[in-house]
Amino acid sequence: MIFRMASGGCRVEEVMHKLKSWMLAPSLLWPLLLGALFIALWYAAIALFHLPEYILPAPHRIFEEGLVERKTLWGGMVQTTYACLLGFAASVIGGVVLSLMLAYSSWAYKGLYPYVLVLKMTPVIVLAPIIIIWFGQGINSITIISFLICFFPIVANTTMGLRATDRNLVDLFQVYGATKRQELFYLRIPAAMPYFLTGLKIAAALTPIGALYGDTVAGMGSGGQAGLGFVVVIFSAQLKVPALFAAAFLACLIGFLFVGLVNWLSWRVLRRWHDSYLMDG
Amino acid sequence: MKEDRIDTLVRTMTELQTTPGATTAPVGYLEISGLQKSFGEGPAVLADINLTLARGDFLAVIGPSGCGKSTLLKIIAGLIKASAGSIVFTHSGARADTPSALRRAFVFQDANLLPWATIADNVALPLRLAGYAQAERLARAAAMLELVKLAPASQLYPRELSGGMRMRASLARALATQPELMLLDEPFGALDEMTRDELNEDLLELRERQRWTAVFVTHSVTEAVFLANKVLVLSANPGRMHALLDIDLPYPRTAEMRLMPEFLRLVAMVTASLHSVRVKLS
Repeated sequence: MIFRMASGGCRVEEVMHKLKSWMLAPSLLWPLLLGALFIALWYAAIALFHLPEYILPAPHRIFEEGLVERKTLWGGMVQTTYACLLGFAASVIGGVVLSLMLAYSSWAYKGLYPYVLVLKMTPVIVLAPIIIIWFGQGINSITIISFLICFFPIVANTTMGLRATDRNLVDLFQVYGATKRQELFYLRIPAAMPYFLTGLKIAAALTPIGALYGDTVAGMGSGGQAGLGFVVVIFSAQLKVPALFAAAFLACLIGFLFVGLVNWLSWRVLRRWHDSYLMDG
Repeated sequence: MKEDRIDTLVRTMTELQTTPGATTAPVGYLEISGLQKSFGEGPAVLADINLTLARGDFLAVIGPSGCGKSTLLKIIAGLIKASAGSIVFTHSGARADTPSALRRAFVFQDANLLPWATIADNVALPLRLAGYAQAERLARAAAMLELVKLAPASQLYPRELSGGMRMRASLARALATQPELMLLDEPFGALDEMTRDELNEDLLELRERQRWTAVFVTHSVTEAVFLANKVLVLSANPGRMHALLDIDLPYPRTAEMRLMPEFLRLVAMVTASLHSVRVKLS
């Protein structure tokens, strides 16, 4: 297999890894300490300036109200994660297909790329109402809005990666009589992998934004279960500020989940051969 | 035991390539006549190249930078089209079933390995492109890695090897196809002198086993004299044949030969020829 995901390490690597995670402990301790300080300042500010709960709720109140609203919040989180997955999948599939077209035909590149840019440059906020008119309230519109926000970094990076293949390697394939198909699968796609994964990382960070924004404008008809974005709209209308903070915290968690997943995937694929993971894999 | 098996394998390969009587009559050879190259409307890069290589010849091409030596090599490889002239190969009958892409191998200036593939997979790449089954290409890659003394590194990735080792892997990849013609484009130019000398010796040793014809572009006179039985000196703008010199040193050549007066005399001869190119240019 020419392109192979690096497989699990040997014992020596495991030991090294444990050693490293121990050495990492102080770098974990430091942000935790800073976090504690931040929370202390938070309480101090509330006490000092007599801030009411509808301006700045105390952390323990956020936790309490979050528990009270746990059913709504949990349902919202599941729904939003689902929307994220759909939007992300659509971006990856659509982005890769589009990239292959753009990379392989200079006609497609010249003809289509300006329109890809037009689509990217038109703010989604303006497009959203049109999308909702066409596809109605609900998950379809949310997925499309999420796609519009996420697909561009994937297309831009992957296209670049597919077009920037090392000239000498292309010559090598030509000397040995490679077919176009072989060149694509054994050369261009693996060579574009680091670029694609960079696009994927940016898209992963944008995905929750797309899904949550989609939710706020098109979340009304999500079949009884509103996503986190719509939950936020309701909480803010009801002035349930502590629950609003809890929702923000959960949305942040979804973002970490996605970015973490993509970072892990990138590490798996690239650690053995790519310079961005120099010898510390 | 293992050594024996590989030796047998190599012997079979050699037999495959050497048809009976091949030692007397040149069976496979390369004939270049009236070759010319210019890029677009620009001036000629190469002009009036007429060259005949007998089977088993080792030609070194040397000349000032910009004389088109790499271009000449790429034209022979089929990577660049010539503007005029012809290149004719006569392949030996014994290998008529081999795909033509596998008859010639190209070794690039740098190792030019796929960074995402293991050394074994890199060496097996040409065989994979030619559609060989996995078992066979891996067996052949393993045999070749043994031959270039890289067997322990077969599961490593290119960035985990030194420059010299990467170059060995690159040689193994070229040899894995059992080529008739080896085209080498300054393959050891980026290496330190010790590694380069060592690889030169290894290259000749490999040639003793596989008996390919070689065209070797270099900018080192000692390297050219050590490896080749013919040295082509090119002049520049456009690259023309300035001299075609015979190197009458017997094969197999050894490291000690570099110290022999005869070797030094030949180095002086090629250097003088290169010098007269420079005089002509200025």
